[in-house]
Amino acid sequence: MSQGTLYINRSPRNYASEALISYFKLDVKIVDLEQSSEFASLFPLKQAPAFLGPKGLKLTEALAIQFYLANQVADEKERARLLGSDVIEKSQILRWASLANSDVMSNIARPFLSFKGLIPYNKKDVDACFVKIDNLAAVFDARLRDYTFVATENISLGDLHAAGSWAFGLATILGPEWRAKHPHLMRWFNTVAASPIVKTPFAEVKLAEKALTYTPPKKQKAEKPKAEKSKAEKKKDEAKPADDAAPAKKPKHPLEALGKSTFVLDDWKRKYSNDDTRPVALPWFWEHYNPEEYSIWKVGYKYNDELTLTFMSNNLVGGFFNRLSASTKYMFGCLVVYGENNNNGIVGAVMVRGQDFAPAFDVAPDWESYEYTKLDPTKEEDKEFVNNMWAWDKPVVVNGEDKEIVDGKVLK
Amino acid sequence: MSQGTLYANFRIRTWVPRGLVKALKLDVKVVTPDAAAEQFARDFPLKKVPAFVGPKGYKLTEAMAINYYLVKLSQDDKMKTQLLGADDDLNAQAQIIRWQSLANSDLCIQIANTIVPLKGGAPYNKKSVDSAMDAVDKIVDIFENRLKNYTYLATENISLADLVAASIFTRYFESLFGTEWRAQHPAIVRWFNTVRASPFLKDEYKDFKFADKPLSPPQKKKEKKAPAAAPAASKKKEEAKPAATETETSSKKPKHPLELLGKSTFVLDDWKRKYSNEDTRPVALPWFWEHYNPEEYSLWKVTYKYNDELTLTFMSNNLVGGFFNRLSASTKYMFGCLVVYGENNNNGIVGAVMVRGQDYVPAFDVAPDWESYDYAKLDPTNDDDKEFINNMWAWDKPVSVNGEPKEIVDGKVLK
Repeated sequence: MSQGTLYINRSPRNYASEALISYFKLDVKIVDLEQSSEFASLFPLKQAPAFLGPKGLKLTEALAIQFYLANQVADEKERARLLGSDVIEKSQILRWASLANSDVMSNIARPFLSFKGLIPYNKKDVDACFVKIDNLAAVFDARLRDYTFVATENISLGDLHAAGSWAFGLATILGPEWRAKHPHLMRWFNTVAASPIVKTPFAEVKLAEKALTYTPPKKQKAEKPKAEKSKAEKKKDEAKPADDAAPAKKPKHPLEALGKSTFVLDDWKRKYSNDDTRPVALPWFWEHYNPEEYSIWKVGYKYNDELTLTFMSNNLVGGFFNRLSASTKYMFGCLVVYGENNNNGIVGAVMVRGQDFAPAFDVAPDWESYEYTKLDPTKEEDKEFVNNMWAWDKPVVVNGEDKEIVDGKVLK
Repeated sequence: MSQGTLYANFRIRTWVPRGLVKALKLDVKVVTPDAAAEQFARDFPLKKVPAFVGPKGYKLTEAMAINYYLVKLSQDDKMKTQLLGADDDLNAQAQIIRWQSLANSDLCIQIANTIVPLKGGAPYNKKSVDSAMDAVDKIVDIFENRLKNYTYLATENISLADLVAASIFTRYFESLFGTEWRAQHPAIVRWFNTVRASPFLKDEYKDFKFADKPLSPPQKKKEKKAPAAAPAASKKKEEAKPAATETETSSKKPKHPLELLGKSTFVLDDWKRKYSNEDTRPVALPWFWEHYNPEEYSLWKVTYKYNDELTLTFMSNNLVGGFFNRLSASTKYMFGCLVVYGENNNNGIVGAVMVRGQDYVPAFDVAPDWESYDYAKLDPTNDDDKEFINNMWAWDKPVSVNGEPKEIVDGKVLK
């Protein structure tokens, strides 16, 4: 009569049970759980190993199954060797088997699974696992330096189960370098692996020639084949009609007629954007500014009494600057919102090419909603006004009263 | 003579060995690792608890091994049989190991994967925590199935299996298994209450309390800056306005000339929403032609004058974008599309735009570069013109240039 059925998968936790059945010729069937149709209903957690014994006995947990199977060994002497002959031996066997079953297995499994891409890779986690593996190896080494086996004077369940757990790591993530640092553990492992008891499950275990490590996923290069579009020759109508002069080129901006300036506006815009305004950018500006080429204007909104929320006032400025986009090549400046909600105003300083504000501003339909007053850069008061408008770090003086700048926009 | 020293602390795995020492009245000292830190670290490099030092330098770790050893120290044969299973009952012994092992490994590990992140002791990852909760549920089902029909896990009395499993379940009952959960799992709750009242564990449960609600995920602290209630200062209107002559001089902001035409029966915003939300050719365009009022709005073919200067199609499209940007002052009175047809180094710009009124100039001249485009009025009663408009707004058919079809490669919508 059969003594039962052992369900296994490829996990090293099956090794010891499988070894006992094979070596001691127990009358137990070994079934790959993938091949079994009733496994899932018998063992809902679907964990291996799992054991179905006589009279409906169901066991899970590797330690419990090994214990049960070892007790089925007929030879009393062999049983005592495997299970321990007294309380002290039995405790130590349970200790080493348990340590291997939980700590060794889980700390090897996590790096392995992440290297295989089966769980997310996390360098910090993996490094922590390797530290634990080294600590565990040190505990094994401390014992195995002075003894041949982990728990008793002969191979016990402790050795069988622990060797199975370490086999998993030694075949995958613990390469030659690691093995060279742990000679005692390796001697013990090789001794146990060579035992006839584990010949069957260990038959396919091969020590890793190179440690498995993390390989970053290849970034899918979007090598879209650039269709080499043959440049079709421009089809220019050779025979232009007689009234060639009629369709004039697109109109130039009136300020373009003033030609190139020695003061390079783009340099100033970059200076203003990249450097600290008051200590660095403004001194640079006043050193390079050419009043013959550019004029500076105070720009004030005419209908401050209609403004409500400050962010809406700021949006108004944003819209105005948007509509000035046709002239931005010839302008630089700021408009700021000062005051507070339901009591705020808009004012600013804008520099334009040439000596007149109209050619630059009249590209925006609402340019007439603002007043334009020319500023004199040789006058300290006007100069400081420009500085304040572009630095935003001091309040605006309105009718002798200080008003804090709450927001603003830069035209550049 | 002392039988040894047990290192134990608040960790859940140390409850059973400590309980065994007390209940079985063993001559074993119970010490916290902190109290003998140096000795503990030397004897047990992994620094795990529980840990046991016996006579003659005998050292033992692993909770299951220590539990076994401590029970064996007892002189009470009846108690040993109860806790470990009878010597002649192999099934009982194996089952006791099985349930201990399941609780000690699988169930205990999931504490670190569920309760610890929820309490903020480890990074919270909803996906990880949820899958760990699923694993716990499966294990709970295993226990529930057994305890539905039996009082205890492995035998007919409290064994090590019950003691170990119940102590580990403690962490779940105090953090995750709320009132609602407990009502759905009466068998486990009955078993848990029975075991924790036993002489082995009752001391450990003095301060124990069931959770009312399960832990919820840690909230990310949203720093809600209390909006400083801005006092609505009354408007300071200058009462004394200047003389009438000056009043007339500083007029209000100028209105857009098309504003003078007044409100139209054809609501432009409705059309813009229709165009944006519906399928153009089957739904939006029929709607347009049904509601369009040619007396209020006119339609214009808009063509770029300098197509021979265009190079890359995306740059042509950017040109259109800039033009539309500069038309922003008139967008209230306009709707339309300009498309780029052809290919790189051989493309053009054309489109159809509807404007308020019968003249295109008041709408377009707000953009300084409006004169770079030709404007030709379209007749909506003419089928050719009507189809041209449909094609310009649907972008689904090529543009016919000098009788040659050119694919539309890009475009912009003015709305």
